[in-house]
Amino acid sequence: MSHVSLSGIEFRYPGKGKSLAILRDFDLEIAPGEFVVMIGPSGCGKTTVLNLVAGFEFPSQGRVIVEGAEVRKPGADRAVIFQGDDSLLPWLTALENIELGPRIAGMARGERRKLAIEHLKLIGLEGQGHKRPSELSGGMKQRIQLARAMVCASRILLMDEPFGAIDALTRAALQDELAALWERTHPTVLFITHDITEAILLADRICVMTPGPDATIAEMIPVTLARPRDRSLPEFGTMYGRVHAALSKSHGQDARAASARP
Amino acid sequence: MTTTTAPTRNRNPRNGRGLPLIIYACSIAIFFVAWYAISARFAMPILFPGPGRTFAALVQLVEDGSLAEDIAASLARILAGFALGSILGLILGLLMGASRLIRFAVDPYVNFLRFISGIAWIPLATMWLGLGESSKIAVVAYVTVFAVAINTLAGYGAIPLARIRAARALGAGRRQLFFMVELPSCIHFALQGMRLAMAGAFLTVVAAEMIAATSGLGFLISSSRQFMATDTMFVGILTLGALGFAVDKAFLLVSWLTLGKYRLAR
Repeated sequence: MSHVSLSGIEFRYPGKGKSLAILRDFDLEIAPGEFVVMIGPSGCGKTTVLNLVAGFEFPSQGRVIVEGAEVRKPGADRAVIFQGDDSLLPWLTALENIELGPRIAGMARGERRKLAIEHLKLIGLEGQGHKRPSELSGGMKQRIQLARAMVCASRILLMDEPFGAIDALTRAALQDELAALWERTHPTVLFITHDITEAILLADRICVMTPGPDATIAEMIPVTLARPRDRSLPEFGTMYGRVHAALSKSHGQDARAASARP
Repeated sequence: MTTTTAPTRNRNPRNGRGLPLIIYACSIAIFFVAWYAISARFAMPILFPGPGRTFAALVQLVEDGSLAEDIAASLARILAGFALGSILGLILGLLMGASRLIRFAVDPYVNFLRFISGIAWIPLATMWLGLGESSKIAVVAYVTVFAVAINTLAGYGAIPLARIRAARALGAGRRQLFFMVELPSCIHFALQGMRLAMAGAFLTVVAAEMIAATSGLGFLISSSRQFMATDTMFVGILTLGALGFAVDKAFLLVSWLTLGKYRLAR
């Protein structure tokens, strides 16, 4: 049985009369422990798909099923990692931010602090726990977001261009860390990006979107390269060409701008 | 996320660290010199007392203790009204932010009343609440409420969507969202509103004391008119400015020490 299932999805913003459909006839099944990457340039509805699974928004038609039940609201079973640092609470320290989920769930102070410190170590920020987000770099802040999600032990991770605003070197490091982390605990991941390399590095399947409005899946490309994946192998390059071709076919001109090879 | 901006001049606080103090001191010195020069040119010194006469009046008012009494009276009214208004304004702003129903129900009144000066209510306030302290406190609270409420509401509007969504994805219910995210996000804005409101409180209390009081700096100034005691008026006026300056700095310091971390919440 699939862990996350979207079927017959149509999405338009409510209350705007004859508004355009962002998504139409969209179907996606994600198996437990599977890493699915959605790729496509801005405006093709990938974030909308993630918001539907997260329970931030609801489809005009169709059903979003997570663990056998229809999604009605956000919840700690689906951790979300956002692109920017807006989602961290700026008045809390790194540790306090990581503790937020357990604190909301009502875990005792000492217990949740212990858990947060463990996860701080796990993301390689040991000793930085007392700092506030404004004192941390972009890469560190994304690590904090990751730890904050992991601390909840969610089986589903929803990541919306989490490394999109990070410099290339840090981004590469974060990608490798995420891949290693996923290997360890195998959560179900829906990951959004417009970076082909990132998609190939992480995905079990790459979901190439058609342009919006009326967006749907253009092509589903399985990535069978052995993990951990090496960006420099020829197979990686071959896969890059294949994803790029799929994107170009689906988007025409737009894809060239969106997929500049690093 | 942030793009680097072009360097602007003197952004580095190390550039001329002592300079602001020197400029401060020079500016004040120039004021006193100008004050002296203007007063010396007046044919009738009684209409425009110079620094010397004013200082003499100040010494006398300090010695007989009346200045301290007037300061205490005005300050008590300002702080009581300000505190009351700030609490009500914060609650009102938060309610308006948290509930669309309340926002739209209350909005017309807030945006109608905030244009009616507190001073306009003084005669009515004294008729309704008497000549005692409560009428002044009520009017000061009135002017404070709107500044604080509107700023708090602005703080609500400035909360990034991702911040709300992240908390909800971590399982936060309505109450937790309010206390863990929304309220702390608004504190910085509420404090700014309070700082603005403080100036309004000063203006209003003086007017109230001129119209209906037997103590306070406003009363000191208006009652001096009967005796042509312009030097005393000057003392009252300058004291108001100095007091406002000091209260504002004290407010900044206290809010920084107690709620400083929320200032990061932009």
